[in-house]
Amino acid sequence: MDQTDSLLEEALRQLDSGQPLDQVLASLPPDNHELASLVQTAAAIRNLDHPRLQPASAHAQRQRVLNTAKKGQATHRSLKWPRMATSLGLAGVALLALLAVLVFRAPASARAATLTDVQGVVEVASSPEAGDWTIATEGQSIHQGEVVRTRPDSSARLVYFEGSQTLLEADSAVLIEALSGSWGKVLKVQLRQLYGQTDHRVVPFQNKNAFYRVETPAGMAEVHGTVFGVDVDPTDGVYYSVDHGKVAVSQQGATVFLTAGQATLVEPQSTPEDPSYAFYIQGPIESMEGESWVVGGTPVTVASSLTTGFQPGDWVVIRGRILPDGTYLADRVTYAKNEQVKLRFTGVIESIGDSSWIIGGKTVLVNHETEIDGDLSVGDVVSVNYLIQPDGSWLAKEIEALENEEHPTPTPTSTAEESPTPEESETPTPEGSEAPTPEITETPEATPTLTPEPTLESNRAGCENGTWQHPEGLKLAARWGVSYNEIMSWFCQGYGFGEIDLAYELAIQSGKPVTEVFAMRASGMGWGNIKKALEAQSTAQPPREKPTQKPKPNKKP
Amino acid sequence: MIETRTLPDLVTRAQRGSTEATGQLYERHYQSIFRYLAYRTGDLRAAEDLTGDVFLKMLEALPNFRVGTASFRTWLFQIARNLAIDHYRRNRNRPVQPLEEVFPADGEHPEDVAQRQLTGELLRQALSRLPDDQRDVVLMRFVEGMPLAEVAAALHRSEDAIKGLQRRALINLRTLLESMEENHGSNR
Repeated sequence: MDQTDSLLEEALRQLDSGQPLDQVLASLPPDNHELASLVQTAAAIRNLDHPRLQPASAHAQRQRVLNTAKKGQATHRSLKWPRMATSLGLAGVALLALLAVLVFRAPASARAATLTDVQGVVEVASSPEAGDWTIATEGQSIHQGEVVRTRPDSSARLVYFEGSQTLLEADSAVLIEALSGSWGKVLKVQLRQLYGQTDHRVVPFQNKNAFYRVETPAGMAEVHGTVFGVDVDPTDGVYYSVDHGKVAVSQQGATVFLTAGQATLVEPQSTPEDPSYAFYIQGPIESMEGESWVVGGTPVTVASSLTTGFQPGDWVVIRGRILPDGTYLADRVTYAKNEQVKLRFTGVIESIGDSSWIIGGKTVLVNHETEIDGDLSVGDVVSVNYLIQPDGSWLAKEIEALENEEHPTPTPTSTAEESPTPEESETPTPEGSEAPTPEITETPEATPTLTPEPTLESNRAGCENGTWQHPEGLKLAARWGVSYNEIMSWFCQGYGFGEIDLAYELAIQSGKPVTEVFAMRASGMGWGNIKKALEAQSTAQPPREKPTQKPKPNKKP
Repeated sequence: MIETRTLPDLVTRAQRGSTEATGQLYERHYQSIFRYLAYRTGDLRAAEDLTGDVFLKMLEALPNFRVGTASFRTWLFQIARNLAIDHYRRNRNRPVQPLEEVFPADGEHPEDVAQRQLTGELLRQALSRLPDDQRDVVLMRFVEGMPLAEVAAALHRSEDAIKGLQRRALINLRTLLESMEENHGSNR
């Protein structure tokens, strides 16, 4: 295939240089009909009449651009003059302001969130437009206006001064639009979730001025002492789910209120769907017939827009809502990170029997091994972890209450001291990301720290024999145009997918072979210093445009 | 479009506030940007608006652009690509103005116009079914005629990666176009 790529490129260069198509075709290997047809396709595209902007529109647009350019210059000039005149007057005001601030200012820690539980590669920029991404470090302070993003297989947690938390899952980005507070643990947070999945644990507010909001491309969630999840997918809307407490979700002038165990989907430009109880299924796809799937033994309706690329045998996570007629409707489908069957749904207890309960219209069996949380009664909202028995019946492994009696325990935080100023580095404009994958928030443990599950990464799945291919490995191979084996060779040597993603990006930006980037890492350099070093080398001399060398993958029998 | 030595001069003068240089930068690049955005969004009106936005963004970010270290056109296409991605996220469900309206030309035989409309619209439809990266390679490489190295820089990929992408894109496009032309022919 490499030879075909090179031959194709050579033929395209000949077309670029003006050589007639028939001559270019004549120069190709005579038995390579595939190559000839590709060259003809490329030539046909070049020769099309392509769309053109009409001259009148272009002229008007040009004028607008020039007017903006002129205004920019005028503003710059006018700013110079008032500075001298007002500086003296400002001095007196500044003294009074300083006094007021010292008396009335919020605690310093309220104006910053602390980045904790940093896993993989996490980056921070000073603003969405700046593009000055730097590698984030554990304990780093994050301020209003900054953006935090995570790479593949990476995550991080923002902890606020009074104990509320925001967890960023892999491939997610959040802008801190507002962050402040005042005495008495009054938290004021507004986040804008750009893409990906976040989970939120909000300590109950003690003051009516406190707020915690999450803005998304489709709606806003505002909470008051809650554990909930927000999942932004540009193509499939925003999925909100609540584990504890209550969340108001608004869009297009309509608001729905989600209580514990409920979820809603908000499409762009639409009002929120009615709240529904929800389900979470992780398991193998056992069958796919149109929109009717069976996953982990559970029948699920999956819209065709969500099915691309999946096939029977794939391990997937499906999150969705339970419709009034009992249909399990998928809202999100993603590849699972491990091969553990997990089945869960929420609903209201309708009846309690000795050997079976009816919850949300579904009969689940109970036996002596079923763990039942507390003193439950008809009407309680519960979460049910279940398994499918050989005869198809559902056996409850655990039934636990989801009402508001449990609130997240405030996590005692150390004073958010200012961390060393992150090194500034110039990076290209961040690209728009791909459609993020959604996930439901799982019911958290009583203690704030969740026991990490064994993941495909920690088990180095994909490094053993077999035909199974790691989905993250496939994604990165496609992203960087290298072989799956090449990506996995780094993974199997112990690098995380977030690190691999970053290494290839740095290699392209610097013009260095990716082996050199990994060698720097292997020598003990941190990613932040590696980035600085490569940028320093690239500004010292123009970057050479040289293909990255492919490392020899570790061949495993 | 070949970037000549005069382009860095224009950029430098525009950075220093020359509206005449800014105007020339617009004149040199607006059609390329519009073409790219027209295929990228499949919506003429959106492409026109976004073309203006590209140049406004250019004005904002021009002070930070380092002449001599990167291709200006590459940098401009990166801006256009980012805006196209943002546009797609915001407006996925809105109806689009199709590309057919671009094609009528004075004095042209209607059958020829219809044939060209069909082919151009087929291309747009086929492009819309490609993965983003393949679509960008097709637009930059074959519609805009950008050299391989420039496309690689614009998309933050290696040249080998772009070679592979363009081959796969052409294979997919060929298959899609053949299928669409067959369907169109059978519907006549």
